[in-house]
Amino acid sequence: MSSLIAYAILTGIFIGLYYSFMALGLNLIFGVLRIVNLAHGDFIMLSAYFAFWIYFFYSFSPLISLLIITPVFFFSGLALYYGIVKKLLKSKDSEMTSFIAFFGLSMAIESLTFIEFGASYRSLPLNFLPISYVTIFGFPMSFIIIFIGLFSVAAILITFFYLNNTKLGRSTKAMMSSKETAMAYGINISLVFALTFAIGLTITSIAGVFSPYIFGSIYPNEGVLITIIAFSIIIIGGLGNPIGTVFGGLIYGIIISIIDVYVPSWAYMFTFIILVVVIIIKPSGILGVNIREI
Amino acid sequence: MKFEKELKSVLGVIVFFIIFYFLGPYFYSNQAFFVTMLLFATLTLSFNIIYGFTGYLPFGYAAFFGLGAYGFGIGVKFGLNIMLSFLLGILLSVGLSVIFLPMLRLKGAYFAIANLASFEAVYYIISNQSLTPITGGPYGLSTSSVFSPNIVYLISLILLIVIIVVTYIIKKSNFGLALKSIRDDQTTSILSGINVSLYRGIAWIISALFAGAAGALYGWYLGFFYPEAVLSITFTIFIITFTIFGGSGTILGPIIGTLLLYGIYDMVGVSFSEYFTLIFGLFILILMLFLPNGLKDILKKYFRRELP
Repeated sequence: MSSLIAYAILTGIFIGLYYSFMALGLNLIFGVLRIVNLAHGDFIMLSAYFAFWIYFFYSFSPLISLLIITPVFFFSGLALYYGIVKKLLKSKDSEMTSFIAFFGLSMAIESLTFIEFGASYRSLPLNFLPISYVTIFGFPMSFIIIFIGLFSVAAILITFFYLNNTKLGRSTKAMMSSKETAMAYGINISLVFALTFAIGLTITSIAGVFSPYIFGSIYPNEGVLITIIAFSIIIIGGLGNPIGTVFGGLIYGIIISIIDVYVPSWAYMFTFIILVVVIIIKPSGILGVNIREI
Repeated sequence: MKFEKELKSVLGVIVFFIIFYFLGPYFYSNQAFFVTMLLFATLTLSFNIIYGFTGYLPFGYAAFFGLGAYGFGIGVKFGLNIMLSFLLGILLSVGLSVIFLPMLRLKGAYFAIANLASFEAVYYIISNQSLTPITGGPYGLSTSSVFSPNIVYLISLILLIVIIVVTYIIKKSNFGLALKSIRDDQTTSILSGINVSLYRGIAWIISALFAGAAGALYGWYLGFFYPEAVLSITFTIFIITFTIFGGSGTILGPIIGTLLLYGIYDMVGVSFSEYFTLIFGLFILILMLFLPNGLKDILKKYFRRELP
């Protein structure tokens, strides 16, 4: 029994690292632009379909398709920012307005995918890595999960390096803590907004390519579920706090993989319950400051 | 004089719906369309009580509607009479809204997301295989043993009239005024001596009550339903679009939104539902970009009139 739990925790750590990475883009965009990208899960799904499509027609492995997908998402992010988000940010209640607008976008993406690919479940090939199993502490572990976990760590570290050691990244961090002060110091807000939105979507698209291996398959209406999972993670870790996201992802990954071992048919329901409970007890997240009112 | 004008338009709408009820089926023989229209108008107005008046945006609103249908279906399954089954539907929906009460302490996007998540949780519980003996699980429930479309049609009309009157009363009362002040500024409302948590709680429960009743009627009318048929996020998309397009917080806005948009939806054809999710999704996006207050804005800008 105890070895079962140890196994679940070990898997949970690797999956949790992926979850942290998956939610990072959402948190980055919220932290800087203060808008909620409700279509987050749909971008993940879209990127996974993109990788599937590239594999289907050209048999490129997901790692190669990343080279095509990331620039596409980066530039779509810029286009989306200048086309839609910029106008939304100017509206009176920008948080709620953009929230409803992204809800609409999410529905549109979902149905477009449905029209294009149909409702069937798709998956990506497992054989792009040289080995399929490794043994850690005596447990046979699927190598792809470990690979994705380590890849996520690398990607998270690169993102933090960008935030801490480049001029634009430091401007981004300054914007997260205080928009007004950042403006007073002469930071080009519009540029930082646009870049953050584009980088957020790029990170999301990278996570999206690996999503079929974590969620098992791709289907058009998985977006809502993924958005809610990503939300649970960033709310556990604190909205607008990138380091908290890593923490939230690990907690979530471990809890879900333990539940998955014992009561698999209820696993996703626990996602929703965890979110609702955390949001009611401490909506600012475990690492966040208090924001609940009345 | 504004008072009388508003009363007039409310009476006008009620008369319109009564005429609609009798004459509609002569022009268009699809009764399901009229029943759904009346139920959607009810659902949109009940959504308006919480969103329009208090500003809370429940993305999981379809949970109340779905539980209404399920309460009715479970009642029928276990041999209750129609009246009790109907009440069970309302009871489940109101019960759920009471469980969700603590969520109202959250604001803005937090509330909306928490509500969406709880909707998904309700969906997973209802459609779970292990609850098949009660809820029918993924296989759904049948209410065909009490199928009586004409009665449902009549009750839908009565329910719609009741909620129009209720919305009017709320709008005119101090209660409605308090709700609006909660929407605009909670802290100031508290300082003015408004019992914020009590008032918004009451609004929430009234809203869930009508949504549950509409859901129970829908479940009754369908005769057979499975989880996706009544517990679908499509309902949330519909009512949010209808309400925002017509103008939230008004009495006529949600009704006009439903009549126009659902009319168009049905006219163009329901067979390609994915295209409609696409069109409605883009429509919401465009509304938020250019007309965040819907028709209300157009009336104000070009005709200098307030939508009652």
